[in-house]
Amino acid sequence: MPSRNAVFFFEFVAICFALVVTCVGQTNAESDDSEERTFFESKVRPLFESRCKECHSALTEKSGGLSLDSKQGWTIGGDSGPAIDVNAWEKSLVWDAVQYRNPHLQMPPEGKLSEVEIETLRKWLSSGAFDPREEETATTPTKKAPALSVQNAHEHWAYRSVPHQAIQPPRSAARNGIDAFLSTRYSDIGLVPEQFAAPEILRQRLYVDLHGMRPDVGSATSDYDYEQLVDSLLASPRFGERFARRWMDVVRYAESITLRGFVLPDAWRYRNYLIHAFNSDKPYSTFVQEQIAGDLMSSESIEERQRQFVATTMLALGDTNLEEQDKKQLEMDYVDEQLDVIGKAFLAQTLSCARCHNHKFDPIPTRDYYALAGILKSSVAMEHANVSNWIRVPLPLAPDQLEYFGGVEKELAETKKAIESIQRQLKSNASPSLVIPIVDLQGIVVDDSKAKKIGHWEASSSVKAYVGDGYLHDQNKDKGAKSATFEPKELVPGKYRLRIAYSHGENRATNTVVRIFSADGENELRINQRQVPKDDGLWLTLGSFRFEQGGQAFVIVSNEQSDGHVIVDAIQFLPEAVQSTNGSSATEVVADPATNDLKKTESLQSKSKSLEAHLKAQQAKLDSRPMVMTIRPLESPVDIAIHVRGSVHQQGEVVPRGFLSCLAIDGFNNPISATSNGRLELAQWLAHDRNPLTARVYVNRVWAWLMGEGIVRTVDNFGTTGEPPSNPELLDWLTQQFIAHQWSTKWLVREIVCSDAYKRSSRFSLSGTRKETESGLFARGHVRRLDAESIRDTLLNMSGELVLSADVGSTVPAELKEDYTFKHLVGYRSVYGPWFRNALPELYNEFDGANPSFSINQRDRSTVVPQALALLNSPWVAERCAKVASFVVAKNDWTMDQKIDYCFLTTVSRLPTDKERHWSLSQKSDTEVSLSAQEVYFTNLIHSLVASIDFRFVE
Amino acid sequence: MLHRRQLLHSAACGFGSIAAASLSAAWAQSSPAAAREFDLRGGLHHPAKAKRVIFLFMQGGVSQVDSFDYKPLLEKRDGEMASFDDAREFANKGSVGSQQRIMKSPWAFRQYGQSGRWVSDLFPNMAQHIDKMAMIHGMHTEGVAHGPATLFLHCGSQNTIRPSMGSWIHYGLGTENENLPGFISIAPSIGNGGPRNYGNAFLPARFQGTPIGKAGASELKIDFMESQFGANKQLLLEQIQSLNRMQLERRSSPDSELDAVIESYELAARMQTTAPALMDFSNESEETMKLYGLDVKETEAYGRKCLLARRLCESGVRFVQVNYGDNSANPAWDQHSNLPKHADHARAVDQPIAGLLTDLERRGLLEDTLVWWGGEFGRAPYAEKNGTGRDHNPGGFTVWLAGGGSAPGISYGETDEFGHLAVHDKVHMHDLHATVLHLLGIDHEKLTFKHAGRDYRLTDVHGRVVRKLLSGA
Repeated sequence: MPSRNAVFFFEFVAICFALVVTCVGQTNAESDDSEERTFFESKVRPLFESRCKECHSALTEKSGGLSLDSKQGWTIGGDSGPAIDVNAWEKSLVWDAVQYRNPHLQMPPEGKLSEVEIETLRKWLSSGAFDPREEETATTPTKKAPALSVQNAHEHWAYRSVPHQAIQPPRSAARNGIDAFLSTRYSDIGLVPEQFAAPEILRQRLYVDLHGMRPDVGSATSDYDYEQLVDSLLASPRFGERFARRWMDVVRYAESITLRGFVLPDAWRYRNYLIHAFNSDKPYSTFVQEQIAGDLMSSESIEERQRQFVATTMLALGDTNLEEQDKKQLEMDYVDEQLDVIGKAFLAQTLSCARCHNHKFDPIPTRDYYALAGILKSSVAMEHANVSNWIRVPLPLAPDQLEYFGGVEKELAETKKAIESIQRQLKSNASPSLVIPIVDLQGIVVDDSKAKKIGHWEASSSVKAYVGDGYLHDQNKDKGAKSATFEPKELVPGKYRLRIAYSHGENRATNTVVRIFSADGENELRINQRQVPKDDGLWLTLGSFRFEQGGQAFVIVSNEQSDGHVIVDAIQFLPEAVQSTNGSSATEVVADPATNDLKKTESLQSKSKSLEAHLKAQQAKLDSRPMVMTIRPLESPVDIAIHVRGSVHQQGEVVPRGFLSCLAIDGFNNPISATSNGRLELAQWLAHDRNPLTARVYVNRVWAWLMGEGIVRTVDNFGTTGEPPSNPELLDWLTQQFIAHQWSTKWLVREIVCSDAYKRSSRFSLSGTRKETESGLFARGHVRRLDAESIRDTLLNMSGELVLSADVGSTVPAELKEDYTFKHLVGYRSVYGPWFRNALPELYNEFDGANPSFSINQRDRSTVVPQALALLNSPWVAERCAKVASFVVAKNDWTMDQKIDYCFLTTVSRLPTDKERHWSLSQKSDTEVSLSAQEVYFTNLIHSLVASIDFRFVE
Repeated sequence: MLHRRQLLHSAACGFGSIAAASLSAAWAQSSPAAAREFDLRGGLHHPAKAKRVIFLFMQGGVSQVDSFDYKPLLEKRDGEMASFDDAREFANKGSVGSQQRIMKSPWAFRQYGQSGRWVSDLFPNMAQHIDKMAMIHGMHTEGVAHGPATLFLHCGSQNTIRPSMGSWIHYGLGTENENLPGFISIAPSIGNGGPRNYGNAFLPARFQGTPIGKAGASELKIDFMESQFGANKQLLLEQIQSLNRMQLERRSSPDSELDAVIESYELAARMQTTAPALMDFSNESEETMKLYGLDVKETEAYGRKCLLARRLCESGVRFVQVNYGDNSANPAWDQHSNLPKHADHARAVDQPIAGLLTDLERRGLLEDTLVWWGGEFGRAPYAEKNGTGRDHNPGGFTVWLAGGGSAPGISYGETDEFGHLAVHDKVHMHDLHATVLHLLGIDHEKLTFKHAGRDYRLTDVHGRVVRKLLSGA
């Protein structure tokens, strides 16, 4: 075959020639490339057809944007750039891919090409990659623009700002602006909206919507002032609890991580932050900013500073896969999850769609995605290990507390120093001349004789001290070929301090590899066996490790890359609890009783013990220091590169940190400087009065919470694939008013629930035209279903078990590390949790609870058999009903009618109808009057009321 | 528009299908099967070979080179150091080519069946069925750690929350028995993703998997299936329904959502009868019990689960997963140290699985039941850190299919000469998902659900049907 240069030369000549005698030149060129042509047609084209074009063709999926249909196809290439560069074919992506040497790029995916096929490609590429195929019409441009461009974003309603000038509600008889907008619509289409629901029903509505519980029996009256009731419900702490729980859905609040069930011990502070924010009616704009960048904001009091810090927990609540081994991938997945939540919660945008390619429908280019991602990437979210750790920082404290903890810290450091000094003295006193019988040792000891050995290990007992009959060494030979695995039999799960015994000496290795396999994964240590083992001359502490039931629990000592004799003698697993009282037991064994140093040793030991106790107490004090789960700003913020097709291993152009370019705000000129983290600017941009989305999205969200569906029905999607507002003027007017009222949630709620629209009956009036059921008209009330939390809280309230408190701390048991088997106890309202992803509270899964791993904007509304089964058979439900029954039965002075009244009031919040009363009495057997029979009767009555439609669905 | 009741019955979409009945507009979207009053024999997108799936999940990762992927070179070069691209090293450090000690299998291999394929002494009973199996040697997947790889196996995604394949299948095909859940996971582990592995994620709630029992506990029952009230249970149910009818009448408005509540109690009552009966093995012959190994201590636990799986399939459950695992971070087959422990696990599952295959075949169920055996990944052919076990290996491993239109007696794909990485006719986990859906009459690219602004599917934007794994291909 001709070399590449030869071909190039040939083409060059051919072109020159063609310039002179055009027609002839072409003919010549054609006839002269016949060899390449034949080779291409007989070998290369079939190879493309059979091995590549199933994916890389305009006729199939054109995977990665790459078409191998034509020369143009592979010259332009796909998302990763040109597929073949004829001038440097050996560096071409195609060649790289078929070699199967780069783990990120291996083609074809179903298996490496045969040697013959690879040789064909090599020949073809090395000879200039002759390809006669012209671009076919089916080939489309490789880069697709988003359907709606950034320049034309204003064509979509949601990307236009709410108008500057004040919107006036249409002239109408309505008292409330909301009704003015709606009634205009009704008269336009000739619709008579439904009548108001009965006061008894409206009361239920308000309680369920604003407090998330049915009303107490005591508050049952149909004679009340509606607006006064609204005000008192808004002023009650129960309001904040209800709305905090609603917001938790949006920000995927939870207190544990699915994988391994790790408990997040500080998350509860964020829950209290939310309750406080809603109860104190914090302006929503501040609420938004604090959650994005509270740690970077200024504050006026220490309490405010604390709340700002805690608010950022929102960014760290993702259900993260901490054990992902590709940490680069993990970091970008983390950022993606944050952007997904921020996008849905504040902007109702599907930002994640732009991670791999420009958004297919909305004006969000990949550039914008990575501009935002850079902002989040400028904070550290995890410290990496096999299983990475989330970030905890100390809660900002008042000066006196700060001083207190500073003092503890200082004392702790001093105590540690003192202990170390004693240990050094003890070490020099220790006599390394003893043989330690295994039975004398604490904890579980795996001797070298019990270790599983790979390769030849030489037994020795020449240098004392040692455990058991001696120790083994690797003869300083066959480096990398010998290992010893120490695995205890039936280790009780828990935390252990691991120690290794070895006889030290000058010919030993300074870099013996010790690997510990525990619940924390694999930890690799290198120990210097020339040094005296630090603990006491025989033992060296390797660290503390957790071991799970059935989990890995072993230590491998290896002689790989070691620079001297590797010694293995024994590994000791000391339970941490035992350690505190008998921590220095081994020292006692080592001490030589024959010497006069004995007394000195004993005194040092007792001093060491008391110091260690002191250390522990101080550590406990320090551990009680309040911590916050958050992310930590990097010292040097970073702009990041576009990840081609979302791959962390294929990076493109670096983009400066910034916001969504389709939402540029007039007058907001706050570019992110190179040294600024960017989150504060992001927060200000989000919460800006003129950001077209933030306020609208929230107003619509609150509307949907109260009215059953949003003015924009797709609450979490204001993009072009979402639905348009059913009443745009109403949405914009309400948004303007909301901003004018300092972004007050309570104002907004009050405005909505005091409207006529809120009060309409959910029944059909006889004269109705059925048009009132049409979506977006709000001419008829909607049927509310009690969600899982409302059912649970109401049942606990009925049974008298609910503890209502305004100041609830962490509800996670102090020692709990994994959530798997957690059992929820009765007590606080559901909002106080703990919200464990592997152990959700009673009835939560059955009654459409929000998946706490997602940002959920509207819960499902399902009616499924497991709900019926749970209400029939859950022991938890039965117990609550039995408690109410006991209460009723014990009321000796109540008549039967009064008792039945109570059962209805406490469950369905109303008195029985005549028919129901009659039916209730008929269920009672006349012959049974015993107390236990009464209990059974009332338990059944209450239980069936709880399972009935009127309990579960509020008209 | 069909009347709701009609729709329910014609769609044969029992457990939970009433949910959507109330929202008839949403109904069309909520289940493709229900949307068109279709006949399953015709398949959702093309004729189906399999009507249901039994997935035998070997949690922790069975070593392919110690079971079905025979590599004589390991014995020959046992103890030698050689360079391998270790998956964990690569994920952690991006480095390829580390020195590892080749470790031979402690088990002997023999040839079985007409096909003469090699199986190790770990699975002498399963080996008797070798001619029924489509052995896939070129599997590869995503995720080096258990959590990510287990989620990928079940949901087609490592880190993001996606519906489980059982939920997708249930959503696509509905169920054949209204009185039972359509997707059941027997004794699932709470670890490594736990409920997410049988979760519906963003699919409607009725498509979530129903667990029966849990890993590590011998009791097999469904939550809330047993009444607390004994004789009173009927009374309670009657009272509830009386109240419901009075209340519904008083509301005087037609409300299909509330009709559905009444119906859900009726269904619950029927299910309370059907489900416990399925767990009662008293009508099984002694010979059958023996077949599943119920008479032997070591095989009894997994045998019960396999027998239950057959009974559930007979009763029309669409997707049954039979888990062999536990709740630890190093589940069951995860032999990082002490590879010989594989033998204990093999002992526990070998006879029950062999028995299940025999039983399905003689009852004529194997024809339209797809059985899938495998773990979340395989294991490396070299000693982990020069120790006594093997580390995870997502780059190459073996799973097998049997029945349900899979190609019997074939072997497809290859790993390299050490059994480490899949090199020839590779099958990615996405491809296996696509192929399983294909056998069920589903086009994996067409079974989608709209969520958060876009259409999602089990195989994301990947996956291809591996035609050679289909019988008659």
